[in-house]
Amino acid sequence: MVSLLPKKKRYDNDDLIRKTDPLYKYSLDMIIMMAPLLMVGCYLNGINALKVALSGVISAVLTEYIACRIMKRDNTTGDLSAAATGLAISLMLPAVCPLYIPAVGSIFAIAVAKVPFGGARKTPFVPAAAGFAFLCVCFPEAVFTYAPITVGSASPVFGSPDFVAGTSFSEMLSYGKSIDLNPLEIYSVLSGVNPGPMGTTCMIALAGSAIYLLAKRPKKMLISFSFISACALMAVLFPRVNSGTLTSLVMELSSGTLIFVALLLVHNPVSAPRKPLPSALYGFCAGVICMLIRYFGKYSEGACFSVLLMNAVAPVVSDYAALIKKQLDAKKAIRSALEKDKEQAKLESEGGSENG
Amino acid sequence: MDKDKKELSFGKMLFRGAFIYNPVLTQAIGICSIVAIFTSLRLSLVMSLILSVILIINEVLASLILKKLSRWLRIAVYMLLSVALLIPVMIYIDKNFSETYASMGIYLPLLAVNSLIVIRCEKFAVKNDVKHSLYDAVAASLGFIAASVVVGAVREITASGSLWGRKITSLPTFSGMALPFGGLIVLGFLAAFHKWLIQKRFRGQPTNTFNLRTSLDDPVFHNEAFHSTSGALSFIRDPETIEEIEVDDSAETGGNEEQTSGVFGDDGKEGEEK
Repeated sequence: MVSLLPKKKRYDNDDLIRKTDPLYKYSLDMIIMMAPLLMVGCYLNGINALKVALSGVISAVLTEYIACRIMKRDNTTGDLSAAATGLAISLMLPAVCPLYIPAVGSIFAIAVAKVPFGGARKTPFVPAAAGFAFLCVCFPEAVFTYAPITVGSASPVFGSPDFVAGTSFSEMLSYGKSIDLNPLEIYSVLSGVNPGPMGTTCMIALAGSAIYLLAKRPKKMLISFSFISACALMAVLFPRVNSGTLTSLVMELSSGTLIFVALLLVHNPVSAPRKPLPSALYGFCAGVICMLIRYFGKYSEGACFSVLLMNAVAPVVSDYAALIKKQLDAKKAIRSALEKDKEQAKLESEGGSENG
Repeated sequence: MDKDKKELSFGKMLFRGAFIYNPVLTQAIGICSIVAIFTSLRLSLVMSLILSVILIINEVLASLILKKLSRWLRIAVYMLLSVALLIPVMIYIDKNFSETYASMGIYLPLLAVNSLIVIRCEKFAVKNDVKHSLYDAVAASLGFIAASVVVGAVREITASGSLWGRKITSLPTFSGMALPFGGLIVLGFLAAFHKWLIQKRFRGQPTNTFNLRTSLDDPVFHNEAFHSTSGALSFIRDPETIEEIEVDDSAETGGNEEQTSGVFGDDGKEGEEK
């Protein structure tokens, strides 16, 4: 008898393989973490933010598809890594930039930093960081010019009378200007109502992403945490503004793409080390380099450059961390051996005295 | 053996020295100046021509005179000779083309210590006669000129949209390509294209026979198969005479795949546990 029920839907084999692919899961996590940032960007900047994001994502996916066709490899657009790269690049850009800017960044990231090295599973560099660094070098005016934000607080919240609309925190820091830390200001920092890259100003959305990362991949969070703590330490020890360490801390951490890079790009599983001690060292070094580039570099943004630099030396960091661990273990072993000797000597002396 | 060497024609040596074993693209010799300063077609052509003249004179003199000197002394002599050749050139350029001289900067005097000169002289000219040294110098310098001209042209077009000082495109330009990292990127893609061309030219032969360190002067040169007319790469396939050639492509790619899948594999487990 032929059953009239519809046949049970069976998984397509390729589909199953794709969904259990770790790279697919990682990229999906990244996209889920970036989605609220994109929404906030759209709320603050209007439809232009969505256009920029679409331009980045579409050009990244198209470049990956064409490159795979040219290299005669399997089509790897299905693992979403290209889409995540394009989205990350466009979220680090201002919403008012011309639409070809995110496209150029995505094409560079995929065609130069990803495909020639053998795809997302092999490339030593984070493609999104490479693309954004290329944009910083080639189009500094377009990348660092931000529009004033009109949604939310209508009046300018920055106290100084010579305030120019559209001045981001990183630009203010480079001139040594500071903000008042009043509740209104703190609210604007938390909600992202200040000029900056379209996806990286809202601290509340970034906190949500951080919680997601902590829940899903706690080992990755170690790198992010050490990166942010190194930056915070540098901001407290060497402030660029005169109005107190707390202001310096708030401004440095909330300016530019620092926390975005820390949460989304630093811990790329191919390039970053995996064991706890090396990853902490890696994140710390990346944070220190990022702040050094901000202090002494030509550009006000240093996070992506520091990520690229640390990608290049990641194996050295792992080796060095292993060396440190070895020495610590050796010291521990020597200490425990000495303590044992002492105990034995005590026991022997006690035994000797009892016998005597 | 000596007779065989003399039969080696100029065309053959040119093909091998300039194309197959291009000093820039296969051995990465002398890329300092290419990456740093060759940002336009004119500049790269002028500087590589100067370098090739120095190289030719150096190699000829090395094979004529310097064979009996000890090695450490020879290298110093190459330097002195190059500097002596460069000083009049520098004075001439400074007097007549002062703008070009300013844009060359420190990299014009640095040509005297370019590694291409020492490597070609030490590896080939000292061990061979004058005629073949001259051939080798011409071949190596032509290879250098070709690579540097292509890099300079590509960088000039992408960085400023012009070629030989004339505006040719109105596409968006990338000022970063004039920086050293742009030079390295162009050089890397050019080397990949060069390798692809060679693999296409010698299709059917195993791809892993290519060793980047192999050159005209290596033990290969004294192998009889080298002088036979069949296939430019046939000499490499003789396993008894050459022991160095061990580029194992399969080990590289296969190993990486396993490693990286392991990297992502751990992550996946981590996600699943949560």
